[in-house]
Amino acid sequence: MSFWSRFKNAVRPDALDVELQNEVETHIALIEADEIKRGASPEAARAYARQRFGNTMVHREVTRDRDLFAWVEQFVQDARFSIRQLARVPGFTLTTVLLLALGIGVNTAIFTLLNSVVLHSLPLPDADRLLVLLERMPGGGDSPPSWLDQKDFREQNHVLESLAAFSYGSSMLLRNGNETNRVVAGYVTPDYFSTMGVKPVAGRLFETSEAKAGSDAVVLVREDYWRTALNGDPAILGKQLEVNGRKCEVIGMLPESFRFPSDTAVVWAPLVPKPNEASNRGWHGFPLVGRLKPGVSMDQARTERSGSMKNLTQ
Amino acid sequence: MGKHNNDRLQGTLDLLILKALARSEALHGYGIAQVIRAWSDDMLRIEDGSLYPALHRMTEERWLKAEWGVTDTNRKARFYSITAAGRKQLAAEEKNWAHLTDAVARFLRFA
Repeated sequence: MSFWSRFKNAVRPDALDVELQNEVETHIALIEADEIKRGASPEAARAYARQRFGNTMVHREVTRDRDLFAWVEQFVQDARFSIRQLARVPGFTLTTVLLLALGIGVNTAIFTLLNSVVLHSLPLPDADRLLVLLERMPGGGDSPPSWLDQKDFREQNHVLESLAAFSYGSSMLLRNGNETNRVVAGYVTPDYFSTMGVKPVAGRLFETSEAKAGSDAVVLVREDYWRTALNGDPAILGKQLEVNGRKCEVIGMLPESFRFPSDTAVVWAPLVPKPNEASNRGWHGFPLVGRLKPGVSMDQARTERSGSMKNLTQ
Repeated sequence: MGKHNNDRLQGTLDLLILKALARSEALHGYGIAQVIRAWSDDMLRIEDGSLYPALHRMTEERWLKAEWGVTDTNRKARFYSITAAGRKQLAAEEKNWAHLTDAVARFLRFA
């Protein structure tokens, strides 16, 4: 389930988001039509429409749940920070990131990954083989893949030894006893940690069986968060915390140095797409992180993926 | 979550939207964006996408009414119009705005 569906507006009907998508698509089409009428080329019209509308993903999320506003701003700030950091490490985007399509506006999620993995030098094995996968949209620009595209990737992939989906860092309400805090969380598929190469400092990671609605009431916490906010409770493993109003068991602890999908992420929960998200190829809500097979270069991977991408729709 | 710290900015966007709709028939989001651009001589650079959180919030507040319709080019769009409550809100926002700009102007004169 992606982060925006987890928050308080989870009670809203899903039709709402489809309607909003219609609205946004119409808006962009109208800008383009006007530009073409004025003599712009379809490409120029498209580029203008994107720039003028702004980040459609972010706007859709914000509209769907306005309380995310503050978080989105925080995220943008994080991304800006990351970009600044990025600028200090010349040339490394070429060696550490596979962009299926590097569009005009690079998706911020990439920077988050780089910030975490490369710039903060996470003690992950072979971090230079980690990459973020995005898709180029038919109209240009990058977007996280849809759930179905992600499945196709898995089947068609020859260059990655593993692949995992995650949500952008998102916030959750965490209640421990009488105290409730808003914390930044990552929603991730169970193969996420093995892909990243991170091991728990205590307890265990998510099982494949826990990536299902109903059995996903488990969380991992970051060690320093346990030490401070959870008072270093020695009996934390197996304890129930209330996450967005739902009891979840703490099953493991991750090292303080693990900072993905966000520097501030202190809790991780299984990513379980909602049925409509899992079946809709137009729902681009699932950035992927992958690990290259040994001996496969970024260039090889790039060629491979742009080849098989042609088979995917939308 | 408490009130957002850019309430003033949000209020301003509300004011622009209410004003745009007070003077015209029901408009879709793009229509509203066009009106704001035209009236402000493109001085107000608002990302079109940021209108939607405002439009949806204002519809919830019942300042606006939203109805599905079809554009000239035969696309589905939501058309927004102002309600009586919206007009009341517009009057209040206009007054707020006048007070604010007045206060700032006075400050600039004397500071």
